[in-house]
Amino acid sequence: MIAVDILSDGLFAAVAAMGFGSISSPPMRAFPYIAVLAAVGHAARFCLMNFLGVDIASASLVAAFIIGTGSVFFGKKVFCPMTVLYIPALLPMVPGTYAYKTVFSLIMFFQEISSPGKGNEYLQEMIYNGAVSFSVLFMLAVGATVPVFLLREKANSMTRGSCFL
Amino acid sequence: MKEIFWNSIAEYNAATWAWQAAFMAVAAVLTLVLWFKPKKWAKTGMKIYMIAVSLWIAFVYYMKFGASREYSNVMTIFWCLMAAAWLYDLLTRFSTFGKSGKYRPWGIIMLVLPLAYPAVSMLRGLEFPEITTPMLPSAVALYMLGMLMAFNEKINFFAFILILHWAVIAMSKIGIFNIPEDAILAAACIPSMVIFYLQMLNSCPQGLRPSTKTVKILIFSVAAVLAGCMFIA
Amino acid sequence: MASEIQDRPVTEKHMLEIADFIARYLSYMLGAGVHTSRVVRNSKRLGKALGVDVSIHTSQKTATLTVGSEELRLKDTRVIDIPAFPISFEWNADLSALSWAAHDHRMTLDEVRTKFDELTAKPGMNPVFVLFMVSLANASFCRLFGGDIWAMLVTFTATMIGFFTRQHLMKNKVNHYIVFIVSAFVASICASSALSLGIETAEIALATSVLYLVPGVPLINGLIDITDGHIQIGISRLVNAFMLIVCIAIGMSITLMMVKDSLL
Repeated sequence: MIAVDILSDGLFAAVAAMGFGSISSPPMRAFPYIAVLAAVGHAARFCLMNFLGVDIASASLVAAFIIGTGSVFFGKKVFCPMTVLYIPALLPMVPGTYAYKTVFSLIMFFQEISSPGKGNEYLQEMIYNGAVSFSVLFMLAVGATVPVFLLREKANSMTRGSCFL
Repeated sequence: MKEIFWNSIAEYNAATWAWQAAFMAVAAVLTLVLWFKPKKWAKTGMKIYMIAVSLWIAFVYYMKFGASREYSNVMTIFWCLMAAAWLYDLLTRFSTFGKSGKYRPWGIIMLVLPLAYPAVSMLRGLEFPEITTPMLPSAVALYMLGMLMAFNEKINFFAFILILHWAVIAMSKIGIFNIPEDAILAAACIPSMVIFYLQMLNSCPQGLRPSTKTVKILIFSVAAVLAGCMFIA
Repeated sequence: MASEIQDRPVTEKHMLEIADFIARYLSYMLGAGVHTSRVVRNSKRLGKALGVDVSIHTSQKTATLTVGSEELRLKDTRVIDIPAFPISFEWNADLSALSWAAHDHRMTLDEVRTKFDELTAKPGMNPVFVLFMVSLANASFCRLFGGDIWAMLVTFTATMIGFFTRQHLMKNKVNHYIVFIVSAFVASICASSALSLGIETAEIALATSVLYLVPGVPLINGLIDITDGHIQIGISRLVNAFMLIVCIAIGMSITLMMVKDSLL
């Protein structure tokens, strides 16, 4: 059952990554690798959060690091810059529900602004959700960029000698 | 919940059967005119009729008679959106209501299908006024779909996707409210989705990524998955 | 490498032509949403391959380019407008590869220019394909947030109408803030009709239905720019993305205001 959960998590993450990626028109050859990276990254985060009890920000950092490292190796294969592979792969991990709840509690705060008790509650909820969404987003970007710093030369010559020109 | 639902339908039918008949008569006249003598006023008239019928569903059916149901205000908003789609179409002349010749038999079938709603209800042993009529939301959506299918030179895509969305909502209600008639709409929506998107695909410029064949496969598989999800779940 | 390149004679007229070309190359890359350090690196590489020095200053809507030549003791500076192209990873990959090809194969300006025109004239993605992929993506996103099959179906069709609206408005060159507000509103109002399926489902469907609009690429690009030290443009990009998120929030809050009584 656990295996099915992990697999389905990876599968849906892969579909989501390909779909959101297709808005920014990546080269067709990159699609399979985007799918693989997204599936591995998201499944890794799922495992970390559900089985090891890691918090969402740290888990995202680790997952983003895995995706970033993977994109170095796949990027060389399909002659794509790393960002072309890892940005779409990160998109399914963007903290959407937290962002939604931030907005929702903001609206509810204004609705309840006259009754101090409830208003405070919503304000607190807004700050909580906003903090989570911002830190997850930040961790995602940082985690994926770390491999670029570690492997400067390799990471910056990914498209050298491309046979797709 | 089920009782409230059917009671509201009964009330609606009992109170507005004359209006419903009038709407259906107008629809029939406009359809026939469009079919045999496609004049410009008929096209505009049809669009105005679509707006009117959407607003009718929104305000008379959902707001007045459906008020006892939960979330009827959300449905009102949704049908206002449908009216907005047709209004946008009317203002910008987005669709043409021109015949393209292809798929007309399908269009005829779909135009007749709303009339099947009361028939199915009667077969299930229901009696007037507690019966589904062609002026219920799903049947109206089906009629719109039929019009799009019959006059599919350039269709109003906004309205079409809204109808598709309605089909999903309607399917989900079958179990809750015991209204199997709504399956007709979903069954009609899936093939028309394939047809309309293939048409849209053909009107795209050539040479886009990925190849047309891949997109066709995608459309078919999505339609299959959608059908599977709707009818199994 | 450097000595090899410098043996190619550069006349004044030639240098201006090179500057013209690099200006175009630069504006295309920045317009297509490539992060700044890559644009700078590629342009310098291209300049070196063609025998000139390149320095660049970038901001959100314009870039300043200086092309210089040691031999001629000449500097040519110009300010370039950055056109607003849709984000294209394909250009990112292809134009980067072009700079390496120019560097490694010692291509002449004409060759590079022809290749550049060829690459940028490539047709884009099929809109029907994108429409379907985005709807599928949002439906699976809904699943990742714990939605059931009905929430997924509702999200699928709601996204489809929202994204179709976006495509249609973009095609008609409507201001993109308005595009974001309208499509967020349309998608979320469609998703809110899932309320008849129960609160839990509706909330997930509502929350996911607008996520296809989240400008993930500018957000991540902005953060990359900041970590690379291009802090000004990084912040501009983040602010830009933030504005779009505010627009999504506005569109969605209109819906929430309308259906809020049902949501509680």
